[in-house]
Amino acid sequence: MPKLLIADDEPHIRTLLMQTLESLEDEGVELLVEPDGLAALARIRLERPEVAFLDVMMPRMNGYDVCAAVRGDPDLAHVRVVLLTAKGQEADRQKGAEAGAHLYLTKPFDPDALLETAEQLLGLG
Amino acid sequence: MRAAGAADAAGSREVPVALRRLLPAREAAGLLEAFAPLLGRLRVRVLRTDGITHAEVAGEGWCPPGSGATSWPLHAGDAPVGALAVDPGPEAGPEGAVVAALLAGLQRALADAFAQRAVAAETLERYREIHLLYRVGEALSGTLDPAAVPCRVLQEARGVIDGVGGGVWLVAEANGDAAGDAGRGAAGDLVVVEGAPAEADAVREAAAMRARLTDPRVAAILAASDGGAEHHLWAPLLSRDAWLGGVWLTRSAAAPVFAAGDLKLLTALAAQAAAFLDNARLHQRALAQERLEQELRLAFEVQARLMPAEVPARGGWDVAGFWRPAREVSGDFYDLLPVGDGLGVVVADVADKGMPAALFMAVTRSLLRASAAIEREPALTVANTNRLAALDAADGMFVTLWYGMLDPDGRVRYVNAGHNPPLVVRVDGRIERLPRTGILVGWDPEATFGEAAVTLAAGDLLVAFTDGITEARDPAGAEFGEARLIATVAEHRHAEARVVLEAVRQALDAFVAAAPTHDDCTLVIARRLTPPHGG
Repeated sequence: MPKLLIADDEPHIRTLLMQTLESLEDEGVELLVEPDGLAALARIRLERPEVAFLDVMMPRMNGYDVCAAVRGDPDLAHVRVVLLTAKGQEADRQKGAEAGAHLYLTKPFDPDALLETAEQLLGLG
Repeated sequence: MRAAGAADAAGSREVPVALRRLLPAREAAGLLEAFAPLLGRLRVRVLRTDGITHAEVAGEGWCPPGSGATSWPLHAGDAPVGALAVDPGPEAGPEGAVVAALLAGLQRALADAFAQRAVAAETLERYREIHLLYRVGEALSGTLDPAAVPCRVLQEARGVIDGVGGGVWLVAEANGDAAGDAGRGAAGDLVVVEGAPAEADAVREAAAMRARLTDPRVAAILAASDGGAEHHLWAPLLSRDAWLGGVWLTRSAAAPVFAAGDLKLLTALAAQAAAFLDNARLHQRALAQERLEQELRLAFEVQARLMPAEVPARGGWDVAGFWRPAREVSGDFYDLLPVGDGLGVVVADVADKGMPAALFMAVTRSLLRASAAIEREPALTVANTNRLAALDAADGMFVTLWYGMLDPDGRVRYVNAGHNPPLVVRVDGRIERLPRTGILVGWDPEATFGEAAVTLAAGDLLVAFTDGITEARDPAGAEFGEARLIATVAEHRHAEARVVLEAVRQALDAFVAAAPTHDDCTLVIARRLTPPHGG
């Protein structure tokens, strides 16, 4: 069963992300949720999800560092990382790219585009 | 894809939400576990709508198989999402109270989750709206063509509000907006209502706009686009309180009715479109204005070239002329024509301003030149000009003119066709006026014109002008007047014609100062020179 992890420290954003992506569960995808970067990295190492949506500004470990850690682990080479942030500046994108993120989406996110991105990265539809 | 997330949680379309999305199995199990010590011989199960167990817990005294279960439906909003099954059926008393408390706890948890989903759905809807508006804004930001805006909005609206037809109702601008035809061609369903600023207030309200669907043009499009739509959604195109039209979407009777969120989205889209439409129209107007100004500048240049570039060489006279339009183009003109050994001088004022006056001025000038080429007598020249001009003149279009023939011997034979009397300023300072000898040119084709004559001695000045000189006003509203003109000319009467002319111009400019100019100004000064052999 493919897995998708969501990590964001804001509970209402987690709810919005979950509600946006919940239709993936109907296609057999397991959704995993974590409230901070450190917990997200531990869960990624444990569950080895296909896709991880990571907020950039998270306590304990930010999204860039989680992404860099994932990229630095050969066992997690299959994990596609999407960084989510309120910042849209080019410098942030550059930093995300340097950390090895596949995509960089800004908040507030477009729910339809987010779901479409997840489906593509999971190879669905 | 979009409608499912947005509408079901709000309950507007009565689509049931899966139990696991309101109460994940782990949370349901946790809730049941809390009641376990109180359950005794009971087993409780939370069931999905398909009967599959979502979570369960049994009391220590429960003994399978049960003796038959009793169940209570679980709801979220108005829709059933599952059931609570208890076996064996509880008895009244403590058992009944425990089950009632568990049922209430489950319903409260479901209601909370349902409400939270509704808020999340609403937020996601706003997210969609923001992105839609952003996308439309980005697409339209470079669009300065009013025709492209309504089509684009319609396309976007159709993209986000499922399975609909629609159209744009555009109030044409009073000056004729090209948006209609181009738009109709592009979308095939764009309706343009011609004119209608007067109707705007009446159709501003959504209810009144809906009534407009009975308009045969709209009805025909509705019939063609979706075979008789039943559900309609309207949003006005309003910008800066101006009513520019409206956008409508339609669904067939068999399709679901539009949701409140659909109207919000369409209204937001329409508001943004109206702003872009307004901008595009302003841009078009600015372009048109710029074009007009450029054409007027060209017209001024053309007209300025119609004024004499130099004074024809004729003995005995020193002549200078000045012409200044109040706007870009003028109804005034002056002309200097060599006729035999004399010099014909024309000063004329069309009784209007702007482009119509300028065109009539050009016609009159040409007619007068043509007449002067074949007729040497001023009265006949003006009569010919008048006859031809009157045939061409539009209603109320006429010209006052003074035409004088400056003969080499100092005599001036003239026709004054309704023009303000030119002045003769004698070398000793005396003033004479050259009165009218006929009516306006262009008024009556049969009019005849008298001819008068005056003789100027050496040093005498002839001053012919239009009323733009004497009626020029200072910032306080006072007129320059004939007295100031005479005083200025008299003061410089011993100087060359061009010096006198320049003195009048400077006096006029100093007098008017910053006050706006309302009329064209034309002035011709002719100074009688001392003949080489007396006379």
